[in-house]
Amino acid sequence: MNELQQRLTEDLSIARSLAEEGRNAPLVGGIFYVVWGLAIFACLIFNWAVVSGALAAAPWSIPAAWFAGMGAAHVYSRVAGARLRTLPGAEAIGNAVSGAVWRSVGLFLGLFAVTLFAALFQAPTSIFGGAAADGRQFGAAFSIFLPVSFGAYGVALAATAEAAKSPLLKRFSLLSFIVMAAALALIGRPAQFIVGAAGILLVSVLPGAIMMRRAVAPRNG
Amino acid sequence: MADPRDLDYKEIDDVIHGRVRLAVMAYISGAGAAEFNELKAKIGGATDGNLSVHITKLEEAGYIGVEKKFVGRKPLTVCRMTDKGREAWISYIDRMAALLNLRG
Repeated sequence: MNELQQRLTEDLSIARSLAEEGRNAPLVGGIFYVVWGLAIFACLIFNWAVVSGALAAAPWSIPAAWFAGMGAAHVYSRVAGARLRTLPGAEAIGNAVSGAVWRSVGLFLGLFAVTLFAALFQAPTSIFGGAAADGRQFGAAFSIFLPVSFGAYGVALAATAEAAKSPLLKRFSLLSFIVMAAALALIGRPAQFIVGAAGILLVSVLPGAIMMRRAVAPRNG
Repeated sequence: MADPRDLDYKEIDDVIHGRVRLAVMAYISGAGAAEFNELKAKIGGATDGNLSVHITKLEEAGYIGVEKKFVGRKPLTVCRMTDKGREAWISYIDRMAALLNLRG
């Protein structure tokens, strides 16, 4: 190998390792997974406590807690999001896809919940034949919302895993679908909220914490 | 594929073939896009002015798009590989591989 070839080989070798570094830019959105996961966890525990009778609170406190919890998480996300956009790797393809997918999931779930709540509130009669504001129909309708949410999480995690080349997130995606099935199997029962609370710790808070650690110390493989 | 013996080193894309520009193209080819300070940290050894000159050269060739924006009060310069840049990058790698007789 002559001198020119030697130099070109070295340049290509550096280029290759840089390309791999770019491809493996860490996901920077771990804090979102943790904050939203903890907010949802707190709301689910409160929801369970009220519907199971463990906590004596008026039924209206359930939607109030959800709106407050999700609102607080949204405000925090807006503030934290600006800082994350300045982090190394924030513009990389994995983060761009992840951001787009999770924004869509957030919009889907937010719109679903608000529309469902408003529709039930304005319905002329309850699906159970009683008064429109019958708490049972809210319970029944939102019993579906929890499994739907975990299904959406599973899809978003799978898309993020693919874009960021993260086998670990793929496993969390599968776990999310398992939680979805478990929550669906417990439809209409207070235990559904406990399963949901445990599930959100597993498929949101835990991967978020791992991502935050990796964003500080980029992964190897 | 061309016979490596027929290749001339002059056919190598000069716009890409400089250490800093090669490093910029390589990193962005993997990441898709990257911020100026991130590129500077990854490449190492390049000053702001030096890196700016090389980025401008790649932008003028249409290989990368440069977007300037503010996040809060912080100015960000984001470099993104264009379709033309990706084609040029692939072609450059092919030429280099042939020149070094890495294939065939």
